[in-house]
Amino acid sequence: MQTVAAEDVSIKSKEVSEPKLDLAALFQQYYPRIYNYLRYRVNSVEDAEDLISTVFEQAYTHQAQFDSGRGAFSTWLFRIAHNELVSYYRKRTSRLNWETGAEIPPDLMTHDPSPETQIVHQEALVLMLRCLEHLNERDQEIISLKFAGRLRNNEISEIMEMPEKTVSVVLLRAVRRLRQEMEKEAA
Amino acid sequence: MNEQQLADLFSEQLDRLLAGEPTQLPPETDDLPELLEIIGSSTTQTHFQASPAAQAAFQSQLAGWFGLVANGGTPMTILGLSKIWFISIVVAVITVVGGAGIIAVITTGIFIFRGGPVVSVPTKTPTAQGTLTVTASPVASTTVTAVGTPTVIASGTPTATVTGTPALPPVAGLPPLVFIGHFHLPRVCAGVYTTQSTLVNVGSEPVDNAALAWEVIEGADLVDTVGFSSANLVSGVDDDDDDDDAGIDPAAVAVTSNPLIGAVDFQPISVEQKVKLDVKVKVKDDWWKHEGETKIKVKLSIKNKFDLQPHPGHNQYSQIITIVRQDAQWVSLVGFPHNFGENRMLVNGRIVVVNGCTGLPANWPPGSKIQVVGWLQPDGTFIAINIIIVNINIITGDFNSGVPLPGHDNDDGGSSGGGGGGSRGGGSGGSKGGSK
Repeated sequence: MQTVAAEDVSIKSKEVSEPKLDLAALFQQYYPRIYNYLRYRVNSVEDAEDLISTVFEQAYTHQAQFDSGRGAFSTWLFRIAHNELVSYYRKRTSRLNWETGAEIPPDLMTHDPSPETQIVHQEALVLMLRCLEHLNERDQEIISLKFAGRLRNNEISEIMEMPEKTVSVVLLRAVRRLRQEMEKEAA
Repeated sequence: MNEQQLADLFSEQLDRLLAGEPTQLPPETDDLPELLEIIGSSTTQTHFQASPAAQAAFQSQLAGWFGLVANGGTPMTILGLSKIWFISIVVAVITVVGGAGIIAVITTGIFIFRGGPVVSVPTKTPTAQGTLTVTASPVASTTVTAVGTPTVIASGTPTATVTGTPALPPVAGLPPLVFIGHFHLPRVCAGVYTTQSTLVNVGSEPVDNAALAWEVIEGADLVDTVGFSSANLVSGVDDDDDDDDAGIDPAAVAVTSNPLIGAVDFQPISVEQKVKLDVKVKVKDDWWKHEGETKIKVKLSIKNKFDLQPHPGHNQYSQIITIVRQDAQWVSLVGFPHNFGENRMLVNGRIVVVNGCTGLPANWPPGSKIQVVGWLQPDGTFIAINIIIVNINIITGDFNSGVPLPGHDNDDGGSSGGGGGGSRGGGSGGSKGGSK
C-alpha cells in the first residue's frame, strides 16, 4: 500500500489513484511545530498540552474531512489548531499571558550549546512574546504561524483566509510593529 | 521598491532563514536586514518542546489510534483496515450473532422451564415446513435446533417444537465500547497522577454488561493505589480501610486494595454515550527516588463482566496509560524543615512553598529529615509536589525555630549540588544527591 509523507500530500489532482495518508507519521511529524505554535499563543504548559491533545483528537476524529485536493495537510492541521485556540480564548475569562509570567519557561529549548548564549536567546524570545501580546489578534496570529509554525505564506493565506500577497504585507507590518514594541520595552 | 515588493522579499528571506539557509538581501532594502536579525535570530534559535511526559502520552495516544509501536513504527492494519475500523466491524458481527444466540438461549430456557413444547402463533400464513438451526457463536457455544411443523390450513394453529441443551452460564454480547478521545496527559497532584479518558459506545444497542479491568503492567512496585472516577462506574469497590481515595469523589469511585489488578462494573451505557473516566495512580514514595524516565504503565481494558471470573477474560478494548518520571523538571532537596511563614518552609537554604497540591506524609514527627520533590521556580523558590520523610531523628531543641542542638544529624547539605543548578540542569543532580 502506497503511503506518502507530509509535504507530498498537497496533490491537486485526484484523478490518479489517491495515495493513502500515513496519518500516524504525519501526526508525529507535525507535533513539535503545532506545540511550538500553541506555546507562542498560550503562556501555560498545561494548557498547551491539553490543547495539543485536543487538536490531534480533532484531527483524528475528522480525518475523513481532509481533502488533499483542497490543500496541504499542514494547512488543515494548523487550521484545526487555530480554531482550537480561538475556542480556548473564547472560553477563558482571564488570560494567562506572557506579561504576567515573564520568566524563562521550562519548555523553552535552545540549539546553542553555550549556556550564556542560550540564556540570551531565551530572554530575547520571552521579550518578543511579551511584546507580541501588545499587537492585535491578527498580527499575533500571523507571526505565530510564521515563526513558530514555520508555515509558508501560501499556507498562512489558507488558514487566515486572506490572499497570499496580503499575507506578506501584513506580516511585514506586524514584524515592524513588533520591533517597535520591543524597542519601547527595552527603553 | 514598493511595500508589496519589500514584503514579498521579506517573506522570501524569512523562509530561507527559517530553513537554516543564509539570507540574500540586495542593497537598499530598507529595514529588512534589521528585522530579520532582531526577530529571526531569537525565533530560529529557540523553540518550545513538549515535556517527556506529554510526548509519551502522545505516543500512547497514537498507539491507541493506529496500533503503533512506541516511538515510531508502522501502523497496524488488519485486512487493509485500521485497527479501530477492524475492531468495530468485528464487534458489530459478534453483536449480531451473539444477539441471535441470546434469543435462542432464552427461548430454550423458557421451553425447559415449562416442561413442554413451545407453541408459537405465526403472524403470517405458513407456506412451507423445515428445520431451523441457530448456532450461537462465538460468545455462547450453544446449538439450538428448532423444528417447525406448521399445518398448512387456513384456520390451523401451527406448532413449533424447540429442542436443545443450552450451555450455561448464558453469556451476553461483548460490549462495543472503545476508548476515544484520550486526554491522558498525566497531571500530578499530592503524589497522585491523574489522567482523563473517554469511552464511547459505538454499538447500536445499549451496553449493560461492560466492566473496566485494570492491570499495572510496568512499575507495579512503585504503585500505591489505582483509582477511577466516573459517573458510570458502579461504586463501592473501595475495600481498603484507610479511606484514602487520594482526592477522588467517593460517590463515583472505584479503588482497589490490590493496586495491581482489578475490575469494576459499569452502569448501563446508552448508544453513543460518552463516558468520562478519570484514572488516578497514586505512587509510592520510592517513585520520587528513582531515576528519570522510570515508567509506570497501567493497562485499562473493557471486558464482558460475565467473563471476569475467576480471572479476567479476553481484552476487548484497551488503553495503556504511561507515567514517566521526569527528572528534567523536578528537583529534590533533602534537609530539615524550618518554619518560614504561612505555607512556606526553609529547607537546605531554599524557600519551599506548600500548597493544596503538595503531597504530605501521613505521619510527620517533629525533627524528621525530609526530602522535598518539587518545581524549582526561576526566583529560586520551590513549589513542593511531594514531601517524604527520609529518616526520623529523635532530637532535642527549639522546634519552633527548627534549630536542633549540636551533635545530631544536621546535614542539610544532602542535595547541595542539586537544587541550585537551574530548572533543567540541576534537576536530576539534585534528585540523585538528595536521595543518597
